[in-house]
Amino acid sequence: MAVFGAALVGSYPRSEKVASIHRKFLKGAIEAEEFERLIGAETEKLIKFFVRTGLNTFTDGMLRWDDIFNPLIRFVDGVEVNGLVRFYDNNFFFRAPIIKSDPVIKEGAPITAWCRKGVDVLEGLRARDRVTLKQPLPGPATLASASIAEGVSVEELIEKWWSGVLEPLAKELIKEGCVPEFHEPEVVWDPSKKDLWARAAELIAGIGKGWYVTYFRPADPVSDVLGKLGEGFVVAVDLVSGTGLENVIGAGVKRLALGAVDGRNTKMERCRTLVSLAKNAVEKGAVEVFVTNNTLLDFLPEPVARKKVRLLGRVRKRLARESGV
Amino acid sequence: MVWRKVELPVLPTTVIGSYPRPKWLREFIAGYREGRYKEEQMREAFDDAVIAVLNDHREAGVDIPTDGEMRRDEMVEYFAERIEGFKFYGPVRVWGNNYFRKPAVVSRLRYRGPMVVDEYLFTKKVTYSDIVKVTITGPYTIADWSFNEYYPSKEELAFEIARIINKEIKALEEAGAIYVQVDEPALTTHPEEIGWAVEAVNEAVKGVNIKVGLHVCYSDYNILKPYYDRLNVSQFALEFANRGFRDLDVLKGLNKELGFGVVDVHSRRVETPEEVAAAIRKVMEYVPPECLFINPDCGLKLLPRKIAKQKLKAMVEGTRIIRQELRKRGLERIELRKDLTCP
Repeated sequence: MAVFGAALVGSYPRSEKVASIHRKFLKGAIEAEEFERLIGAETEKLIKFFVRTGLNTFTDGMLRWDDIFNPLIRFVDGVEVNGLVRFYDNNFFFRAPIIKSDPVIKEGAPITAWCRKGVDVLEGLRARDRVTLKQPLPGPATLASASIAEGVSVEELIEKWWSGVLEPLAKELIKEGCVPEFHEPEVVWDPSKKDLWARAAELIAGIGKGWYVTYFRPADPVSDVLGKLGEGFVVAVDLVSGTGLENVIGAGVKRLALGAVDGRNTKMERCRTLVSLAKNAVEKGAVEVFVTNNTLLDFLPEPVARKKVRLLGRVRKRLARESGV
Repeated sequence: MVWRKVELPVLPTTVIGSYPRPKWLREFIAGYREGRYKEEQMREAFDDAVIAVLNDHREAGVDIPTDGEMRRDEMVEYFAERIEGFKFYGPVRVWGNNYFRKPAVVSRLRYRGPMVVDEYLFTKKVTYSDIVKVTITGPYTIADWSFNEYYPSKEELAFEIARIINKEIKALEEAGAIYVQVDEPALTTHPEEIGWAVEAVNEAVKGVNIKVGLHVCYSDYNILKPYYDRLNVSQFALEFANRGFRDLDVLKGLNKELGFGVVDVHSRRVETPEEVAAAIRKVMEYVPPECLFINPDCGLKLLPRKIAKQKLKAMVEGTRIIRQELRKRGLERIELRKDLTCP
């Protein structure tokens, strides 16, 4: 029998309150310890909200993060942080890594500890056994493509980012009870490099479990890349950008996250439509189906994102009711 | 309105548009929003702020100032607030801790009447300069930076906005403006849409008989390159300092004026005049000096005012270094042009 779920991928919008905590920290009005205490408290509230809505797989909302690269790249030796670069076709900008030498994750980088704190919140809520907490990370293809590096190919960068930063970090996260969620928009953005992306997917597959998230373009042109990930991975595809699920499932992807809740438009989706999409995916051969946001929720105003998360919760409850799972 | 002849020094210096609001103005706006001041007092405060901005521009030596967009909180939301059919759900983050109130289109859009003509008239009245530039957000950017809940496609939405912007630019022309800059930072962000996006810009400037510049930034200009001829504007104002003056090759074949971005508006480090001069020398390998304007990369509003002013001073001083070199070649003055090609 197919398994259904509702999940949040990536970030949740930084509320006014969270923004003000960041501002105080950046201005030096609060110390790092106080910043962490305040952000930790806001993250806890958010996790409690996700649990209440009925989501069974989610991130901690990435309230400590500016974008999918920062602050991770600040905890990496061999990297400097560049000026602002547009994040694909969005009115959203990130600071790109400039590669000075082989990137290596710094000892004591707090990413794993942040995720552990989220796990502790779930344990406190006695929700640990029914909820999966994910930690978003940029995937090697996306990170390599976003990097500014003279004389180093994207192919080399994929290997370097993976071995020096992403692989050790992902393994640590799994050890701490978090599931790594690799964001790979680049893979669908530029399918012409799919041989390179296939290599990156093989590297990711090596760690055995996780989420592999694509967005901004349809995934079917890179179905064979997605097929390399293996059964341990849930693959998220952006259904708002296009369909083509048959090809993805045909390539061997049986655990799917359907990005059908638009993270880039305020228009609300209908619960009934989302439920039908999930059932339809099962009819096409998927064995585990999550309904999710198609991309980071940072692109939405927080009140709308909140409504969309609640909608996801309703979708899960309805799927559970109608499928008997 | 009849086009008039205006002479400028070679390499005219200008700004892209926005400038940091003085601290007192920010406090006054907060007070106004709390109901402590009347609308008339708020208007007076905005007017005073424009005078302060123009004073900064004058002291820095900028040839063509703007009003610093003192009355505008943000480049899309200002227009969305004045066009019927938009709704606001809340702020959306753009980078780091910076937000804007991204509007949603929830019904048919309608032009309610002039949006920036009063801004222009006041600036013209109080400026030190022969001309001022008026900035107006372009149709594609307004469409792209809005949530579309109403129109069947983004293209239809953009063309509807283009017709509204066209009315506004014509109202500015009627009021006496001779230099308008259409701001389209989003223009190249969806390469598959660039064909119709360019036509939406053309729709916005259709029948306009004054100088029109087009500002684009932080994107891949190679996407714009095939449309250099197609765009019915006389100038492209492009950001280059933020990218370390890489990508200048994209200017090969440019047949319009270039507004060259020489200071980075996202860094608090103030460039030296020598750095600015070096950048101008570099760009003159691609664009002749008589077709060059000098400006910051983008609006200066996110910088502290003191730094913004220092950057403008460095920009002007760096430009003067090159002007001295050009004087030896007999090139000192140019005429403001509205032609679609240069030279």
